[in-house]
Amino acid sequence: MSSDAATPMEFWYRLPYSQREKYYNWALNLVLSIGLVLILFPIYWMVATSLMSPEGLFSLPNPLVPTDVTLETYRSVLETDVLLWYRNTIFLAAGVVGLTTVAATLGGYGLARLDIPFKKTFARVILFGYMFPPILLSIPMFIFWRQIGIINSLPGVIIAQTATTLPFSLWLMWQFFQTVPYSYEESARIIGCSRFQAFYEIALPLAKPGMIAVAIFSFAIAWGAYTIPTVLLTSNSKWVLTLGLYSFTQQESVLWGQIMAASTMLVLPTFAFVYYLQKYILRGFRATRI
Amino acid sequence: MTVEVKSLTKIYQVGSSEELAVDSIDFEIGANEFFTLVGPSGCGKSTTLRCIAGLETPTSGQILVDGEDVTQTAPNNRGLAMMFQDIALYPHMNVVENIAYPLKVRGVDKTERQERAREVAELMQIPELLNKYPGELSGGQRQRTAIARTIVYNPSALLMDEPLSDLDAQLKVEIRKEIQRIHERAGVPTIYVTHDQSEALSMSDRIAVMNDGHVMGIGSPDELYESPENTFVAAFIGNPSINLVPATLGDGGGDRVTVDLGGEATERELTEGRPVGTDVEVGIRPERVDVLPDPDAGKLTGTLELIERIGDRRLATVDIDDGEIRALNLSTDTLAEGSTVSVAFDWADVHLFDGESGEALAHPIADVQRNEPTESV
Repeated sequence: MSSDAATPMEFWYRLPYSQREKYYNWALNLVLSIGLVLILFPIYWMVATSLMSPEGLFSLPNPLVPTDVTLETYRSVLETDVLLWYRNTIFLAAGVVGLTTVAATLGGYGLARLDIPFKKTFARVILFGYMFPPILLSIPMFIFWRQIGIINSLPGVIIAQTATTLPFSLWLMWQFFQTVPYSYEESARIIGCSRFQAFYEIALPLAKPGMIAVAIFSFAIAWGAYTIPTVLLTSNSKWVLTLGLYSFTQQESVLWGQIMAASTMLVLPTFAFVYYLQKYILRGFRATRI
Repeated sequence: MTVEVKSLTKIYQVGSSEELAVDSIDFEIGANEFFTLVGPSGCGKSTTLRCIAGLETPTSGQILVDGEDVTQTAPNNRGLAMMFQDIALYPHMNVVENIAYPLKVRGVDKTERQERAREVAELMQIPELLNKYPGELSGGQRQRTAIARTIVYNPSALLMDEPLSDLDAQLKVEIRKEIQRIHERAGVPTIYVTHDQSEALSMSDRIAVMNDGHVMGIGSPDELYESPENTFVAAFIGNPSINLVPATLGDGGGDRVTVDLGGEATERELTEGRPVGTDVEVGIRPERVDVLPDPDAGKLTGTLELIERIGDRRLATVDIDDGEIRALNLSTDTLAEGSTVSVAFDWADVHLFDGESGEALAHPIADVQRNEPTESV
């Protein structure tokens, strides 16, 4: 029996290593491209749809690239309260990101460094809190928030939303502080730093990548939050973008053009935010290892 | 300045059990003294140093710096400096910021602290590295930076927790000299922790050998080497380590006893008498032992297991009835592994230890007291 009887595996291993390496890389790139298309196509479709005229939307067959580009849908979206909702969303996201990052950093440091009884059990139970879906939390929150009078207010939503982002963030920071060698702070103490100074000037800069990961995570949750705001916010002047988006679904019709235009406006800042923080993540990673 | 440790005890709570890390130890470090704590890992040497630094709170006992009780003082108020095993240079600060950081904490203004950082960097021969980050430095440069940071603020004592253990052999020697130079210049006590006895012997004015939370012996390198207090110190100091062979005491009349070792016997004067038949251990340094190809020529007979080269000398390992003997003082070139040989040494060179407690009973007779030349075979 000669080479024509070879199995595919035998044939593969008969190739020179450099060639196999090349094919292997191509295969990896192919998988990556398929993944990218799967992720990016809906986003492309959203932008493309938002640029179509209302008539073009329902023409069949629908063109893959819009032929009659118009900003009409954006104009009609801007006639609503969208800018107000925008402001509310930014306010909500900033509040959640700020509160989560500060609380998770302080809490994570405490769990990693201080001798608290049962702290391991505590840290694991925190993660358990992350498992409750927002819909389960939002009803009791509604009742409770109404009793203490912070219903229909953005600070109220910030607190409620932070309750969903904090458990995982706290756990993440706890893990992160464990990777920062304690000897840095010990050496700072001997050098003459107070405990707080050692935390603030030594541990905190080293924990920056973790803090940025927490900021991105909580931003993603807060920016796309729907369930908790919809339960806790009643007047539409307090709405956030996700709720406003839903208002384009009317009783008899769905304004697809406007929904896509508003969605595009919703998505763009997240790119900007992550793009801006990305360089800090990389810088942070370089800084942590000596 | 002096540092004094008084009946220091540290007990760790591990789960529900207690672990005794340091058991009531005492020592005093004089002004300008280079003092080393040495011992196997887990002996409590690092814990002791961390108690002195203030990073651990002693369970009981006192730490005095310059006569002042600092046991309850926070580490930042003790005015000490410490070098850690992992160097602990702050990765987010460059070299000059790292060196100047203690001054920044003390509120020294920027131009002055930069200037002083530059001065010590000059002293440590790293002036060209000032703007680099720790991640960009080599191992030796990091060590120099760390040393610079410890001396920039004139601490009242230098503490070092195995600062050389991650370096290669050549760099170790180089940084060792650097540390001694800095110690001389700073003129303050240095407390140095290491598990490496050769490092301890070469650097220290005085050494404390620790084991299991106790100080087993304390003294100058010569004292510990020449007249160790017990078998632990004898075995820990010196490399390759001392040969210990069991023997029994016989009656020599008066203050004298005989030591019976594998059929050979010698007489020794013991001030504190020991009853006849007491088990003892005979200790003899490998540096004083020769191996002879003639099985009957020496004092003990055995099989030559191994000959290996250690630096400029050869180390022979001989299996005898009661264990093995290491010999460094080889006079014969033609020793064959596996052959029956004999081990030769001078009775005047042996140490005697109590068989049970391990305490030293007698040490080698100093050359001046050896009234008649004993035959070396």
